[in-house]
Amino acid sequence: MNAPFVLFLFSLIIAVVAFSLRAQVRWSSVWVSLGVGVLAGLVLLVGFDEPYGFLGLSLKLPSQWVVLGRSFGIGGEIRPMISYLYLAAAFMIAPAWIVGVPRYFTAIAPLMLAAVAASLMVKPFLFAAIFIGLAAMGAVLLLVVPGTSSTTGSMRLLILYSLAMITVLITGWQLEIGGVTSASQALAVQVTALLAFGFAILLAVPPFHLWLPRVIQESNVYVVSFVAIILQAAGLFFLFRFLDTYPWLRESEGLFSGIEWAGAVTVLLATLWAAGQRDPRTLTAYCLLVDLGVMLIAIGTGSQLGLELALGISGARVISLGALSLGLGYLIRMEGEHSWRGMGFRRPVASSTFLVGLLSMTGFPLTAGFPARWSLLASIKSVNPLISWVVLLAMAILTGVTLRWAAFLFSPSEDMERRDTPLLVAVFLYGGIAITVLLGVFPQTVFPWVVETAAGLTRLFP
Amino acid sequence: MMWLLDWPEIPTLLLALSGLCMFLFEDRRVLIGLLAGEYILSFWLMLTTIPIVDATALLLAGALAVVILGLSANVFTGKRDVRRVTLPGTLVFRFSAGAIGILAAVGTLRAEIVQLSDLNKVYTLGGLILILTDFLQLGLTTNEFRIGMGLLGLMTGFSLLYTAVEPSLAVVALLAVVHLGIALTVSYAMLQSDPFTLVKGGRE
Repeated sequence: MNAPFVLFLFSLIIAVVAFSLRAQVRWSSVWVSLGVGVLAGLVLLVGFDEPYGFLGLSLKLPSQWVVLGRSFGIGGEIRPMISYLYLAAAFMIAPAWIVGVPRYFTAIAPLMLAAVAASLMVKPFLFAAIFIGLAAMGAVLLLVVPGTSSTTGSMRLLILYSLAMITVLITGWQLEIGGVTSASQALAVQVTALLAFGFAILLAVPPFHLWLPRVIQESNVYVVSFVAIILQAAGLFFLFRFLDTYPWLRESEGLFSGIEWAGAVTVLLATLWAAGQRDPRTLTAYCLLVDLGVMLIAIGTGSQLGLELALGISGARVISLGALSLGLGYLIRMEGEHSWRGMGFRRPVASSTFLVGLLSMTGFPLTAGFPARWSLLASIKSVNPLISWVVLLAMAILTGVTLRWAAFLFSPSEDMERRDTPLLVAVFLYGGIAITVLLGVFPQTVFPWVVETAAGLTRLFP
Repeated sequence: MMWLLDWPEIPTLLLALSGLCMFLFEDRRVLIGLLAGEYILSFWLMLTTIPIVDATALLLAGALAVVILGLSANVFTGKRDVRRVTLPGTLVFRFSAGAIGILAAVGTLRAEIVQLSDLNKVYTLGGLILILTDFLQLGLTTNEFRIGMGLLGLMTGFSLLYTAVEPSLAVVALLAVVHLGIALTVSYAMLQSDPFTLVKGGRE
C-alpha cells in the first residue's frame, strides 16, 4: 500500500457508495462531500514515508507508487494542491442536491477528482496533460443531461481538451527529448507558441471559451460551475509546474506580457459579452470568463505577488461561483428558465444568493472576489495603468449589470406570491451569502492558506 | 509477413485513402469500418517502431473503442432511422476538404518542429494525415458520432507519432485508456441525446 494508491482507492470507494446511493441525491451529496473532505485533510496532514502510530499500530505509507516504469508521487510540493482541489470539491458537492444535479453527479465527481489528483502526482509531470484530458472526459459525463436536445457544448469541451492534451504532450516531448531551450531561439518560439495554444484551451482564453456559454445552457448550471472550478484549477497548477520546471520559459521574453495582454483582452471581451446577455446562465459564463481573465493578468505580472494573487482569485472563485450557481440553480429548478421578472419576490433568498454571488464575481467591495482584485489593481496601476483601467472598467460595468439584474428580479410582475423555502435549503443559501461576505470582510482567514497551496514550487515561489 | 514492414508506403497510402473516404461516406457502418481499418493500418506502421506487444495493446484498445462506438451507433439507429451522418456541403466540397487535409499533412512534413523527431518521413506522414484530416472533420460537424470518429482518428494519428518518440509501456497504456475514454464518453453522449430532437433540429 502506498499513498497515491490509497487516494485512488478511497476516491473509488466514495464513488461506488455514491453510485449505490444515486436514488437519494441528498445523502449521496453528504457522503461524497464528507468523503472528499476527509481525504483532503488526510492528504495534507498524514505523514508519508515515515512511521506513525494509529490505533496502537505502527504504520508507514510510502509516497511513491511505481506503475509500468512511471510513478505517482505525493511529494510535499503537491500535497496542498491536491488538498485544495478536494476541499473545493467538498464545498461544492455538499449543497449539490438543492439544485437538482443529475443523479450520477456524486458518483462521477470523485473519479474526476482522482484524475485531476493523478495529473498532479504523475511523474514525469508532463503526462499530467493526459490525466487532465481524462478528467475532461469525466466532466462530459457530468454535463450531458439525459434526453438533451443538444450536446454541442460538451462535445466542444471534449474536442478542445483533447487538442490541449495533444499539444502539451508534443511540447513536453520537445522540451524533454528534443532538448529545446532558450539557446535554440527559433524552436523555443515555436514551442512556446504551442504551449500557449495548449494552455489557452485549458484556461478558456477566447476563442477557446466556446464550450462554456453553450454548455451552461445545455446542462445544470451548478454542475458546469463545479467542472469549471476543478478543470481551471488543474490547468492553473499545471501551468505553475511548467513555469517552475523550465527556467528558460520563465525568462523568455514576452511570455508574461503575452499572458497579461491575453488576460486583458479576455476581460474586455467577456465584459462586453456579459453586458449584452439576457439569460443569467450565459451571464454567469461570461462573468466566469472575466474572472479567468483577471487571473491571467495576475499571472502575467510575473511577480511572486501576482502568482499568489492568481491563486487567491482562483480560491475566491470557488466561493463566489458556488454561491452564484447555487442561487441560480435553485431558481431554475423551482421556477424554470423563462420567468425572471418578479423572481426576487417569489424566491427572495435564492435571488439574493444569486445576486451576492454575481457581485462577488464582479469584484464588488465587501465580497470574496474583492480583496484579490484590489491587491492586483494596487500592484499593476503604476506598472501597467492601461490594464488596471481595463480591470476597473470591467468591475464597474459588471456591477451595473448586476444592479440591472437586481432591478429586474425585484420588479413587479403578475405573480409575486412568495414561495416557501425549506429550512435546510435556506440554511445553505444563507450560508452562501454569509461566506461570500465574511471572506470579503476578513480575507485573511482563508487567503493565506490558499496562497500557500503552490508554495512547494520553490523556483516559482522562492 | 515481415516483408510488409519494409513497405510503410502501403499503409500510409491506405490511410490517406481512408481519411478521404471519411469525408465522402455517410453510412455509419461504413464509417465504423473505415475507423477499424485505420486502427489496423496504424498497427502495421507502429510495428516498425515499437515492440509488437505495445502495438497490439493499442490495437486492442482501438478495437474495443470501435466496438463501443459501433454498438452505440446501432442502439441509436434502433431508436430511429438515422443511419446517415452527413457532413455539411456537397460531395465536391467534402472531397476538397479531405484533399486539403492530406495536402496539409504533406506540407507539415517540412516543418522544423516535425523534423526534430528523426522519424521515417513516410511513417510521419501517416500520422499527420490522420491528425489533420480528422481535425478538419471535427471542425465541420456537431454530430456526436462524427465527433467520436474524428477524435478517435485524431488520437490514432497522435498515438502513432507519440509512441514512436516516447516508447514506453506507460505511454501506451495511458493512450489506450484515452482511446477507450473517448469512445465511452461519446457513446454516452450519443445515447443520452434525443434522436427525435436531432432530426427535428436538422442536425442529421
